[in-house]
Amino acid sequence: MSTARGNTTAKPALTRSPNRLIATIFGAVYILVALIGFLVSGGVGFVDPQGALILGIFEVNQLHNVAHLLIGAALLIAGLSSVSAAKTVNGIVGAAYLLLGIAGFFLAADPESAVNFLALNTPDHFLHLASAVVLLGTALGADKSARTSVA
Amino acid sequence: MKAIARIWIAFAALGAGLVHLAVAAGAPPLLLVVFSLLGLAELAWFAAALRLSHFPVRRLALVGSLLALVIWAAAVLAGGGIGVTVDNLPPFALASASALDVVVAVTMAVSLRRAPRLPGDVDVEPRAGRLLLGVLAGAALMTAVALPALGQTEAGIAALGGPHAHHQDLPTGHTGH
Repeated sequence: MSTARGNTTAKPALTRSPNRLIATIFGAVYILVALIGFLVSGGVGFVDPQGALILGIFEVNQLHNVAHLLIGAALLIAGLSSVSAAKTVNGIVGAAYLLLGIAGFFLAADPESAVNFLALNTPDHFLHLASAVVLLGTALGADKSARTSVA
Repeated sequence: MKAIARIWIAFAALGAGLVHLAVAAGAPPLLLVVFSLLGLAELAWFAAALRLSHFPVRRLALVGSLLALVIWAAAVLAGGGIGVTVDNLPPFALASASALDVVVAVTMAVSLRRAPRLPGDVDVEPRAGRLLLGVLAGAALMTAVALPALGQTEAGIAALGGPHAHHQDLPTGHTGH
């Protein structure tokens, strides 16, 4: 991990950028969650609406695990790359999670809905919303000075 | 500190917006439209407050956040006439959203009274670690208020009792995972 003092390049160090920090931390956590998900959902179909539970709470199927892996990789790579990359990926993932969370309310209102190809349950929706708040809040509210700088 | 306070207030608007959208999902047609518009406006204000580094349209935000309470009161008074029941207009959820809206309204009122905003007047961004802790604390606080409220909405209840719930007895004898 680079430090603010040791960095002589133009791009801000990891520890000086909230977006890079949050992208790196969330990226690592999502990759870990994906790996745990693959371990617990061995017998679950790729898009089976009835998934397996992580920590006995969060429901996942194989597609959900792949999504976690891709999102985690994107966040981790962006976080380790530059402020503008981290800001962009945080914003996109945060907005996508927010939309997913809001869509979740409307999908949940119809329990017979057959479009639950990610095996989402209520704790999933709530976790996605919490992730969206932090990611979107950081993308929109932090690293303002980096908005016009070249990464 | 001012920047972190602004982020927290923006999160309060976001929380209120999410609860209003969740309420809208189970509300009668008229209130579905009203609460959806209200929720989307709160989400847009959240994004603008973070993006612009100051509170945007403070007078409108003050009126708009209090308007949420007026809409709720009017819906309760209208009652069965527009299809309102305790189930599709959950008091606890709307009380939580109203509490968040009151926080926004009070902040706007104080902000308007204390300082007329000058062009180019933006909050200075604190150091990364402090800002990040502020964002995490604000998100935790907002979700602590909003999540129980979301769980009380028809959408939340339907999700808990829907086909993906794992802690209920199913008629086939299947006991879940």
